[in-house]
Amino acid sequence: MARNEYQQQLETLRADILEMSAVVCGRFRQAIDAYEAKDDELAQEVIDGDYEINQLYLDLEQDCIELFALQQPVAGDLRFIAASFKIITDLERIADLAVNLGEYAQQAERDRYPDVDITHIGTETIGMVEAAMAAYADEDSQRTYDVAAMDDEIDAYCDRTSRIVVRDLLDGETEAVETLLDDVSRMLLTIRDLERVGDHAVNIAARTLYMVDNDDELIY
Amino acid sequence: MSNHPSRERSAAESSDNKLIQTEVHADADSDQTNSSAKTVVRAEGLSVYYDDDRALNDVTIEIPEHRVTAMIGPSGCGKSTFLRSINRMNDRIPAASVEGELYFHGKNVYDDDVDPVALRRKIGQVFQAPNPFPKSIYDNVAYGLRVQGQADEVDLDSAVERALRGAALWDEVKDQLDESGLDLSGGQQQRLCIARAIATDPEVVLMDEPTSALDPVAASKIEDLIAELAEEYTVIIVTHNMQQAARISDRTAVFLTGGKLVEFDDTATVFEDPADDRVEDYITGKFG
Amino acid sequence: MSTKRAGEFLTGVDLRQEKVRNRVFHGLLVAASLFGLVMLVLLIADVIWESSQALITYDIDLWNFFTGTSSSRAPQAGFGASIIASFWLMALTAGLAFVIAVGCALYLVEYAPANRTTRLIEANLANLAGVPSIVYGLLVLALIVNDVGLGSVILAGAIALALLVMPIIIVASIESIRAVPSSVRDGAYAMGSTKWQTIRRVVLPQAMPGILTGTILALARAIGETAPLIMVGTMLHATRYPSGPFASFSAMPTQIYSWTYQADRMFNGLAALGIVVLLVFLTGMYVVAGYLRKRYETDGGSITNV
Repeated sequence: MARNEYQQQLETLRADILEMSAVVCGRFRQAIDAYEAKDDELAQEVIDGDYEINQLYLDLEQDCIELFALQQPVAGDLRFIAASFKIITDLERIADLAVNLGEYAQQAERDRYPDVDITHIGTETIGMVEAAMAAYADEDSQRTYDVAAMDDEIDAYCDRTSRIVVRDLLDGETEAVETLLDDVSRMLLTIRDLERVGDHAVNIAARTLYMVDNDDELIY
Repeated sequence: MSNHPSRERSAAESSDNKLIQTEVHADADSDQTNSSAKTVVRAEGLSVYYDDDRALNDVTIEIPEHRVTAMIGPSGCGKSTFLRSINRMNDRIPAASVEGELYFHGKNVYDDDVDPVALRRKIGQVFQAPNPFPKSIYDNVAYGLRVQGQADEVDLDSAVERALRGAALWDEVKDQLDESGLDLSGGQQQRLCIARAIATDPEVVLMDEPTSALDPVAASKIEDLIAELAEEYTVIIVTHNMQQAARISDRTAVFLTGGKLVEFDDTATVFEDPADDRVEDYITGKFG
Repeated sequence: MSTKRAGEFLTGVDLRQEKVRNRVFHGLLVAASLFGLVMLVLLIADVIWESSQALITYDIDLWNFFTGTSSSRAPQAGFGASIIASFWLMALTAGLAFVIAVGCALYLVEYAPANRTTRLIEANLANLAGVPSIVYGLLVLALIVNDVGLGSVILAGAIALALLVMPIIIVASIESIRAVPSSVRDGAYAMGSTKWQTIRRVVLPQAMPGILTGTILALARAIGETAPLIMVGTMLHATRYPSGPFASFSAMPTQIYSWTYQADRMFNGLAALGIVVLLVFLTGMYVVAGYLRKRYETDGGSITNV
């Protein structure tokens, strides 16, 4: 096979991206655990770990650009690098959202909204991300559609959950309005963050579909 | 990113973000622009043999007018043979024999009643190594007109100037038209050959690896020129350099071993998502 | 490599024997070249000596020498008529040989099929160039002078010389025409030229310097040829300026030859002078040929990037 060096570089890029996604998903699950267990130290780890992920992102971005400049990739290789280039951005954002979740874990007043299951939403959405990355790793375009379908459910769930929170705000007692408002806005933002994670998962799936089938159907 | 005239015609394509075709109508527009062109050269089941060796295997292709069509593929896969079949320069090789048809504006150029000399007067050719005649620059460009008997009817001076301008060479040589064409640099000589080819106002310009003997600066000047040439003529270019084909052509034909035409499509498609796996392997460098 | 070893490598090897061999061969080659040069110099010196002696001894009137006609009386003999006869010969020879030779070369290179017959013809051309010149004289004597009945006239001499030099010109022309690169021909054909247009406008012009050089060199050989002219029949003395192609004549070499057979010693002196004149013409022709070759060697040269 010709262009051995180049083929190696492509493989390395793929491996590095899969590694980055493992780190990011790990961090996110860590944030969920920190929230569930009300573990401030664990949450702090998540927050501190963002630096490492940003570095990873910058390195991989540089790798992609170098491949473009020096190897003039075309066809399948080109779509692979282009898709990967976009996917690392989504992964980096997911890591930022993990930090937000970590901060929320440290600050949140848990008991107020038992009907709102942060753990559930979080686990579902990070599951979507992992499913999308699995489709990327296996170059399986079928599964990308599955991820897109999952997002509809998540969106619906988040929508219902937000309504519960706002209704509660309107119905509730007017004592300590300030703290109530803080709690509510934090809660709503967190729900939106988690929904965003789902959107990023769909982006990853969309880029994967483009990479494999040259199909931009899932890219909004 | 490429930005030659036909690309600019399909206004939906922006210069960046070509990697992801985010607008569906961009595709349709560029397809339309490329497919609405008339066909000027058409091959049907064309095969060429050198004695018993089959250099070109059953090629069927329609080449559009006023576009740059590139032909790429590994060495010895028939691209140059196909090019030479268009203006019947293969006739000059005694061992060559032809099967099938090749139509130029609907007329089979291999019919008995077709005079190759007349055919070549409608088709210009530029070769890999610049081959100006050992005459003055003026005489080089005027050669075609004189040989075709138009020297009296046409104002030679203005025809020569027009051709040299068309080849982006006028400003550099206008004060030295009497000097030998061989005194020019390689890149200039090649542009002189282009001027010579277009002086007789052909319909098609064939280019056989026109820049492979030149340095990158001279080569890129000629690449810019090729884009302009397509506005007036039809350009068919054989090139070893895939990036060049990607840069300058509207449609690309890929020839693989045995003289087979494996894929022929819009250049963007060939380089972003080719239909044939063999083409993908070739252009990503996995073989050849 | 340590410095010590490197030093050994550079200075410790014994190359003396090879150096000696080098010098010996160098010397031998120089001697061989000098030999030819020395011979030439001796020849020229001898001729110049003889002629200058003759000038002084016999008090030769140079004006008469160059303008007068020959005569059986030595003091009145002149070389002018012979010079003019030689000019006539060269002109006619060139005219006859050039056109036919170039035509033949063009046919062989551009038109003839690449088969055994063609190769046979080309091979034999080289042989023809080696035929002794007297043979051509005999041929012309029999056919032209006698059978056709032309007589011993300049035209007959020119025909003999033309036959002699034709193979030389043909070979030189074939080389020059072949030297025109096929890329240039391709360019011409691709422009829609017919075969003749390509030959006339592109191939011949580019081959012409080589053809001309070959022609001049061939004529330089012809100008000094004596045997064929003697066979054809030259006058003992060129007593008249030739009036045209059908006049009797004696050209420079034959006149020199005749003079050396005369009893009067003065004729020897005149012959020496004649040789000098002949050599001057010869040198002139070589200079022109050399100039042509030089001039067209640099033109049509490199087409790579500068």
